[in-house]
Amino acid sequence: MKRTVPWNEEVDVISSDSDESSSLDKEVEINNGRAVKQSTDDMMADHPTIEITSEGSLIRRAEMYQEYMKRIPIPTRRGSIIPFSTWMGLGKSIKQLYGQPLHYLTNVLLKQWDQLRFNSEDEHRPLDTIIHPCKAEATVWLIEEVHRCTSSHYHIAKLWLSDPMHHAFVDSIFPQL
Amino acid sequence: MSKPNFQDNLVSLEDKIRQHEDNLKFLTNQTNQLDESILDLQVSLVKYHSTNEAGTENKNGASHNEEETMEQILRQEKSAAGILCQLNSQHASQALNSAFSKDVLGIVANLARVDDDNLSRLLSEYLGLETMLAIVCRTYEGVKALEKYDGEGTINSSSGLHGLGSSIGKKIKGRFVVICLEDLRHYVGGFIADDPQKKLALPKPRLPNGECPDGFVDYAVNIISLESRNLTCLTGTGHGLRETLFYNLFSRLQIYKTRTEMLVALPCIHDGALSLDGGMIKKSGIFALGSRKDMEVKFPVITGESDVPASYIKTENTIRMLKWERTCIAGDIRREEELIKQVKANFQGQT
Repeated sequence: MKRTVPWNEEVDVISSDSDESSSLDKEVEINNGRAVKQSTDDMMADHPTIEITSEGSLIRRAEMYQEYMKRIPIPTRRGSIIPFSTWMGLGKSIKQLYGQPLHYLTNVLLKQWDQLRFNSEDEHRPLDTIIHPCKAEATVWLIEEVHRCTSSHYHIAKLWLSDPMHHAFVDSIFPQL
Repeated sequence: MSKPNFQDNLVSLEDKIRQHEDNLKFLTNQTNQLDESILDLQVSLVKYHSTNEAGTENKNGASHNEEETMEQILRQEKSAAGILCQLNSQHASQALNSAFSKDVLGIVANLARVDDDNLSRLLSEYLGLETMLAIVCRTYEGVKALEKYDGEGTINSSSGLHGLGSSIGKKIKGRFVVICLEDLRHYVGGFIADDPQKKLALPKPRLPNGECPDGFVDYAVNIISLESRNLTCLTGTGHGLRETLFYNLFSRLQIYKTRTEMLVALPCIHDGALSLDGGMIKKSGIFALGSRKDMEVKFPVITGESDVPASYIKTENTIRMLKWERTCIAGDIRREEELIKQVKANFQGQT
């Protein structure tokens, strides 16, 4: 039996504070789970209600996503030494080398690690001169294992609800299970 | 003892298959809903066009200078960019359409616009002709389609862009640059809040006293204007051209009013700087001295305001977002199909 979702708030789909938010359409809001497009122009006034990302559908999609990610085995034979300048660059190389997607939460974390270097003295110094590539890759795989094996789809859905551009971190790589 | 477990397993697998099939139906419904919404919005744009026939010539504040830039590119007859533009203009492109036109976004020179001719000359000179004529593709598939090789690694001149060029009597001379958006390292910082041009939130340079150097105008990456369709959702990760293409081309290139002010600000300059009176620092330690060069190909200059209403542009943006969302649901469907395959294989293994 599924527990009820602990949150039930009105949330703006587009947030101007969000790094990944788009300032595309301020008028799209989530209102009790339904996204409503409001138009100020009479010519465009005939828009039907657009249900883009309701709570329920996000939870369901997050559940499907988590179930899929859980089934991808973490590679055990890893002899590579991957040169990398940024964490997202390392993530990209890992995906290409192993033919696997990385979890949404891992991709978000890698981006945050790159962002935290912003404006630091060594911002442009290649990361593999700071952290050994083997250690870096092992760290990414450990985090990936945590995310694949232990994430709750409710947690993921909650993050997706507040980030309309969350798909930027969902990899379109589909290894055979 | 094992038989009841075996039956339970079978029932459980059957339930799982049913659940995944239900998920697929749900995702297909979501796709259909999106398709309907996209269609409705497209119809509203068509209605706008039919009631405002003269209104779209100056869409997004474009000027005749875009045509000038196109003419400049076409004059580079032996360049890949020139040939590509000629093919597009001749609509010679049944083959073009099927091969790579969906993936090719354009030429660097016509993907951005600037406020005045001086900036246009400066930025074009900084990038250089080869980069200004670079072809921009969304994905590596587009890059591969432009040029193919035979078994020995030599260029196959009857396929790709070379083949299409031959069909109009043109041959590409020398090398040409192709930029693949999805392979670029994109900007990871924030964006200026509520900015319709989605400019990058780059901190201003600061001198040791904490003040911004005199004469600092802006970063080159933020001084250019982009068409609204190039602001978001161009890549699979939802990015637009400013944080991908132009951040890679310009990085944190700074613009100053005068050469003198630029040189005073040298300690704050890491990725190069330009001054509006012709000074150029390519990057830290590399100075471009001498006279300014008149470029064969320059960025177009914006003149005049756009007469397209904001709601039209917002509707276009919404359509782009919905189309992107649809692509994402296609990924969900693919994942669910993989799960069904796996469960069915287990089911068949057990029966």
